Amino acid sequence: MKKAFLALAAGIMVLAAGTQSATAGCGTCDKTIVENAVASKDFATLVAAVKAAGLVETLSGDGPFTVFAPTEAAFAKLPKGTVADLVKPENKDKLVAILTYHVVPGKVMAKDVVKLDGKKAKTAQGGSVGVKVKDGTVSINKAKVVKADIACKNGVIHVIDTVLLPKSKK
Amino acid sequence: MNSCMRFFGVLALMLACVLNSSTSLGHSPVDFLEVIRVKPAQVIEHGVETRSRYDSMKKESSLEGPAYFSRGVGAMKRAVKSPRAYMNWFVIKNPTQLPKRQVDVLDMVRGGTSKQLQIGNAEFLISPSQLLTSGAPDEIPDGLDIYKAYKIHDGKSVDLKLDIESSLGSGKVSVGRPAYLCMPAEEWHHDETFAVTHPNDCFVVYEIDEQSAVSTFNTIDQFGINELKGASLRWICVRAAFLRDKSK
Repeated sequence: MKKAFLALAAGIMVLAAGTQSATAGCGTCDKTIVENAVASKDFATLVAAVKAAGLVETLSGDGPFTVFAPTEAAFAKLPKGTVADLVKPENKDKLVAILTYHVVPGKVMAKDVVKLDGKKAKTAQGGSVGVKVKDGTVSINKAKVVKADIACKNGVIHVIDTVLLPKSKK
Repeated sequence: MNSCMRFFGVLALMLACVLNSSTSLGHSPVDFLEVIRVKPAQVIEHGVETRSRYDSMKKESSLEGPAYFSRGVGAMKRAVKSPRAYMNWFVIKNPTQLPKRQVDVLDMVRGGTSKQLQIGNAEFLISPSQLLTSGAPDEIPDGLDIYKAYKIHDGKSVDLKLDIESSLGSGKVSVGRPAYLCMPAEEWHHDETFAVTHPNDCFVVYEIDEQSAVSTFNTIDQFGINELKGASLRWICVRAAFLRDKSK
């Protein structure tokens, strides 16, 4: 009985060591999408918007999610005052719609994104984003993917240079 | 006389493949690869676990790069295979210190004239990649594995002029000494496992006259999308078959 317990304990230790080692050196894959976004200065506005929209808990959940994350420069391209307006409580629904338009259910790595050239991917908001591969550049609608495959515990982040805006419902 | 020996060498290579059917080079999706020194827009620093025939257990490799980029090319009157193979080379920053080993490898340049090589530590991990142009990129060819490039010590120059159809056009290049032996390796990266499909398929990397190869292009590999600026064409990888490790 004691031997069996020791063997089991040793087995668990080996498995634990293996799991830790498998993600060693990654730097992002043991953290959630939100934790990784918070850790980067380039996503300060995105994180503020996610908090204002009440999506922190959702994007910290199991997922997996694919997030097309706009940089600070991407938000800066929006007309002046847009972000300040969106984070107002009365505009929460609109903000949630915009942010969830940046989320695709599932973990879609860059190698799978490029296979969707000319096709559309359905977002968590309900609308679809178009994927285009042209002249070595991958675009989501009109946003260029500037960094891909930031692996997270609950999905993956692809960094984009333009905020994606869903078509407003008529 | 030299070309005759080489012909019989290639014939021997084919025969070795047929006799050793479980590891047949008939699977090999590429005969020749040019190797270009590159500078990436985003330097990848990442740890993965790997194991080749020279690792008793899987081991974490700290990678940095890509430092080089490979593209399938035609040479020795053999057209480039389709789909074309692309590979990104990452420096292994923490190489395992290995004793020097004597191995027998049959490659398409030296043929049967000389099979012995002495190898040391693995200096690069070579990962299949895809070239991004317009439209969905070509799939990675079946049978193209992940490789570790082991430094070859005291490799004798083959002193050969080789016809090659490289990214710089058609022409002859002077092939010098063998620099690396690329052996397939298993890899574990996050929740993905890359198995070795053909354990005896390998490449011998030869030095060639360094030529300027300035261009900018985008690739996609297991670490995402990256822009690479090509600097110079430095080596050529030649398809080979691992025969035996004489150090055992």
